[in-house]
Amino acid sequence: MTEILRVRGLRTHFVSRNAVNEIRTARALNGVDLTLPAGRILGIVGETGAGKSLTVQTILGTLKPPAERVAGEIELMGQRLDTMPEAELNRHRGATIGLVVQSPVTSLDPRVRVGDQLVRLQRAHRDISRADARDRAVDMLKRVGVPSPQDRMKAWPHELSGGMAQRVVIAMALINDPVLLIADEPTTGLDVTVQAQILDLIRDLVKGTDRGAIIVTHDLGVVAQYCEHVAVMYSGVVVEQGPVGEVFVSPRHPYTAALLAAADLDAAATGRRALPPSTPPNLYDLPSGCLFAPRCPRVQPVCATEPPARPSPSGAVETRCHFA
Amino acid sequence: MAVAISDIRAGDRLARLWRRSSSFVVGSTLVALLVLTALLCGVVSPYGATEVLPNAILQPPSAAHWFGTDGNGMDVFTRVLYGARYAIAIALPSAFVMVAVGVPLGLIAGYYGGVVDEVLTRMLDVLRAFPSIILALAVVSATGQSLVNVVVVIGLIDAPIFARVVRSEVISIRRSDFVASAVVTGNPTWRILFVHLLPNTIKGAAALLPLRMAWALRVSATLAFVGVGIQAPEPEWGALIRQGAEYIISGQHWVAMFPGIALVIAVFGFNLMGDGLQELTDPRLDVRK
Amino acid sequence: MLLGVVLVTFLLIRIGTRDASLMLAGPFADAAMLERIRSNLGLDRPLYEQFFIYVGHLVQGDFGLSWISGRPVIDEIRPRLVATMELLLPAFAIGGFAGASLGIASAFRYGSRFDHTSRFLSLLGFSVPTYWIGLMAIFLFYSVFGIAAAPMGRIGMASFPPMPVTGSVLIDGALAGDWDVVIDALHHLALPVAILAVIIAAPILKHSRVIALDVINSDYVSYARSCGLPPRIVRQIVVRNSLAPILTLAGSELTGTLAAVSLLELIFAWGGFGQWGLNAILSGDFAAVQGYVAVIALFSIGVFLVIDLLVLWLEPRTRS
Repeated sequence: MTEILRVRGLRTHFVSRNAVNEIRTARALNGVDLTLPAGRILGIVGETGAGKSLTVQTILGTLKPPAERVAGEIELMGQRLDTMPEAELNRHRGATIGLVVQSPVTSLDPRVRVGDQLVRLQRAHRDISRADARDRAVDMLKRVGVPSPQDRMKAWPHELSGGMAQRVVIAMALINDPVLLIADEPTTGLDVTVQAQILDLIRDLVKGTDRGAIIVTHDLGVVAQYCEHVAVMYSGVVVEQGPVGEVFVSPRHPYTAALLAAADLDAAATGRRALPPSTPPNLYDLPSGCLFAPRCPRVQPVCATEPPARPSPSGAVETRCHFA
Repeated sequence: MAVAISDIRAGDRLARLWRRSSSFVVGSTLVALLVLTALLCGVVSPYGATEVLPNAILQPPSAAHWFGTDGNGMDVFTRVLYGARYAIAIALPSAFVMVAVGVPLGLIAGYYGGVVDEVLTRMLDVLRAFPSIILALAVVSATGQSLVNVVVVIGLIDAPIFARVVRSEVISIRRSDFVASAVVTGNPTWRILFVHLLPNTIKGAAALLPLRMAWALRVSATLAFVGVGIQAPEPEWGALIRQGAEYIISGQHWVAMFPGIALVIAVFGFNLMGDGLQELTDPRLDVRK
Repeated sequence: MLLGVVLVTFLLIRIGTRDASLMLAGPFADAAMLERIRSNLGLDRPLYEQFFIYVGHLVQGDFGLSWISGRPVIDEIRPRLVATMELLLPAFAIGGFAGASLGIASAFRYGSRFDHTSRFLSLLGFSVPTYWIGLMAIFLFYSVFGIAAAPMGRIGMASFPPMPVTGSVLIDGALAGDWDVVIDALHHLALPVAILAVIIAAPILKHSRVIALDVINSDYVSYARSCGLPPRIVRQIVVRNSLAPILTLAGSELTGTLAAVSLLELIFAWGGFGQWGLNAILSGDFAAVQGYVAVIALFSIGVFLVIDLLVLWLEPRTRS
């Protein structure tokens, strides 16, 4: 099976100057590893601030100063994205990699009609006539479940409902036949029924094809239902990654366990413990050992001094823990 | 060499301020310079403000007269320095009027709405449509050309702008729990307005203050130039420029040029300070690189 | 809002000129004559009645007689207004366009040398008084370099003004095929238009930059970048989405420009509407000030109307 995406050791820092003009570095991503096989959906979960969206931006290369990627390899179908020149990388965005955003209504160009945006996106990436692009756009709108697509082509973004706009954004992401679809919190602000429709749509578009998809979310239920693989992030590190069935049933990393316990309604019944309340790590001043050590219920002396170096695989699951 | 801890702190604070807004630091320095000039001009100037010097009509700048002399034989440098006094005498009091009238107006309009609010909105509409300089011109020309008049008119014209800023802040926190609890605990209205609402809404208005002072300075100089505000032989900068205008074509530029430069520096200082203040208080514009 | 403006202009005139009857009567009038003049002007009627009469006249375009010249105010205004427009429109077009372009360009180059320089220049432009920079420019370009035309009106002493068709010396000269006059007129236009353009550009630059920055940091621009749209198209998106707010802003600035134009006209002896109005205020020419104020107000309202229509046309969001 081909690997759509392979990310190793991604590090992203925010560099700024503080009040007394010293350089301060926020280490937001600290060695992220991801693997996405073809025909599969990978869910990336973690609490707010763990670095999920930042990972997406880093992969796409759309980081804005003062953020910058300082290390890591990104391979898309075997091609290195991290060393690719910007112009070439730009050709992948919107074409081989499709992005579904969190806030679709505000992400569409307010001054251009929906159909024209789809046409514009196609013509930016391939040699195609306006007429052909329009036809393909109508087709795509139909495929993503937009009713009366011909009429919708003329719609303005502000006229669309949240769910409709998200379908349009999905259409935009797919129209240039991507191999990788990245959905960053795609169901924020949508009704529960619409959420399900959107996620079903994404799953249908990936299952049984050569494509792969990544869904970034904080909702464990979504991951459980729609993803085959999951990557759990904490403080810029993927602490556990593997098939959903295994990770969610027997989590190896204490953080994963705590996350599941927090989401789990009968924690008492399953005996899992939630995390003690505490503040998230200060990215400017990260501990030298394992990043999770300050909050870990299983912490040992070695955890404070040595970060778990390579993810330790056990079967299909990789974990970053001394004691997994 | 031992350095006092307090020195380090002061230097740090300055460095921090500079980092966050160099505009503010430079602007405030210029304004401070202006105030200093206004205070010390009597000490520093070589001649009297309206002292007529014999045989010294329209002299170009020289060692004896740094900025030259004007058509009446008065030293331009001295008059420019004394002009700083007028600048302060206008900028500060008119700012006071703007705030004293505008802030309460904004508080009331924001808190009660109703008639006051309507009237305020109408006034703002009209101000938008009408160049305020001409408005000031008309009113001052009718009511008499005195310093007090100029100050009051300028202050009143700008007051609605303050009122608007305060009003929108009041409206945004009017419904908050903080205010609701003050009402429920039986605070009299005036207390709510001044003790609870005022401190929270003043920030926006404060950021506006230097910019409006720059405006006040400009307008008053314009009035003087046109012949409506303070007139010669008072050494107000606008009046000085007016005096110098007639000599421009014949090439005696110094009479008009130097007061103008002083005016530009003063207005620029206030503008810079105001911009800097906005940078410091508006999170949106603050991108720390 | 129209009513508000008219009301205020009315009140303004009533307080904005000294007791008109006193002026008209002169220093030797006795009480009886004063009374007669007052009733003539309608000043003895109650205030609200005066207001209705005023509005009635306004609607007919009758502003009364200028007591300085004795002619109807409306006749005084018309030719001068054209002269003012000759100055204002090109300056606004140039200044507005330059200001907006530089502002947007600065936003694209946020934090760079270019950005800081243009911000500095714009702030400087904000701080210089119109009349002073006019005087300095005259000194520099006329007295010193001798390349500018003499600041004595719209054409030189030696040229014969063309047949007044539109009232614009430039256009009339072109219509008459008198190219010497056209060149002379352009020569005279150059300096005041340049100065006015700079004055207009400064605030527009400052605000355009902020508007463009907002747009650049918006969701849709980030998304456009994430879609791999080429930089050329992203710039296009930024410009097109900045246009409407910048236009609205330009409209507001235009009303403030009227004051600057009036001052420049004074200095350049342009013979325009602004200069005439300023003199009217200074000399307490009652009816003339009425006309001046009313025309300014109407002009402003007109501008706002046009801008609103333009924004409606540009921005799909405002249509629903």
